[in-house]
Amino acid sequence: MTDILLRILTPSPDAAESAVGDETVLLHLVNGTYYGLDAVGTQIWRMLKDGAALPDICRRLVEDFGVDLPTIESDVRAFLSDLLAQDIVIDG
Amino acid sequence: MLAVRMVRTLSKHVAKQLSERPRIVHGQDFPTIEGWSVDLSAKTPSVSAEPTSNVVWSDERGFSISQVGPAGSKRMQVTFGTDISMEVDGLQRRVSNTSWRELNSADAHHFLADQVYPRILAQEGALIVHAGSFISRDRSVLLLGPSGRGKSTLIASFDQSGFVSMGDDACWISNEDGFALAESLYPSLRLFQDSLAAVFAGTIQTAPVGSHTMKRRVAPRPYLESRKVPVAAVFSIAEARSDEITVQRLSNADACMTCVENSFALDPSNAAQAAWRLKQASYLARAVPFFEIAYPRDYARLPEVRRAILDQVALLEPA
Repeated sequence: MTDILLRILTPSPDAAESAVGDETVLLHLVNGTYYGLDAVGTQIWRMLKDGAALPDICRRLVEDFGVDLPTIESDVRAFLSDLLAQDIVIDG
Repeated sequence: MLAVRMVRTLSKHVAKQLSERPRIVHGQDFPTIEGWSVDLSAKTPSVSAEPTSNVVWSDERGFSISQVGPAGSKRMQVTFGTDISMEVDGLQRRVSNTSWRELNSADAHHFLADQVYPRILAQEGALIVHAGSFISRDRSVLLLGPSGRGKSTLIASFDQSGFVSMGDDACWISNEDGFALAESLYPSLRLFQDSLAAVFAGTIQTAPVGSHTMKRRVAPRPYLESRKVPVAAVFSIAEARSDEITVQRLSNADACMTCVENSFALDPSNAAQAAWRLKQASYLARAVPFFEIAYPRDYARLPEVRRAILDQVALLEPA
């Protein structure tokens, strides 16, 4: 199975979002799932919306948080797998 | 280190400013809502002849909401169990009894005021949350939670300890000049017999809530507030977890989702309305601190629960 970090993922057009301070709540308008992002999740979401490639997002998080790349990649994989399972991001 | 992930769905429960919002008017037999007609006669033939198209929401208590007619229709049917249902026609602005029987006054009052009207107001753009409320130092404190979580008992407890109650079931949230305001939809206080006996000293005048619940409606309190009051804080009532009384601040995202989860909707499947509720809930979550409170369901501990809430509210007050 292709590593999720090698896929091109974009926010679903059915995902509505609302900022609450430095956090974000996402709502899938068709299946009714909603999803809360903390500040780091919000940062990833913004980069996804800006069209950033997933490897670039990981590298940026390494720079910003000083955490090693394997740890960041593992966390981002889990995070994106959740969003993908809820159809909040889609292949694009 | 990364990204708290919280997933919930709107399947269970699912500030626009209205210059002239419809108000609930309490008549002698049943409440009405301004600008809407209500027909409580037994099932009308035109409605009964048309099949309900699909159930868009239901809960474990037996409530369901269905869309009547073709997709996109503005006719929704709100049903409880097998014997109470009403159709809400958004185009005609009409509520019709679609039950197989005529409703008695208590059932009509309960179903209209507690189930139908909050959803109509939500459909018209208001954020209506499932919350009781009381006033402390000229600000309202909201106690948020689904039915059965203990809102009414706690509100009655505050009522009996000298605080002004606003209501025990549904609050209209609005935004004026940057302040979140709460207004009870109507001044209700409905309790089971054991709560009545535990909270109210001596006898108190009550009436039945409806034929399908043993709850009793406390006679209107002379001082129940029906005005808009700035919101100090929102407490989401958690299920009892232990003998401990715990109060925990919710993150903004959790607060927003808790608010959406406890908001009313006439058509929970309507995407535009859901997005609008999300926006309103995020406004409230930004404007007001949310807490989760868990406590044992023991009447003897209610004074401690009240103190825990009031202590937290006091910490929010400017010095």
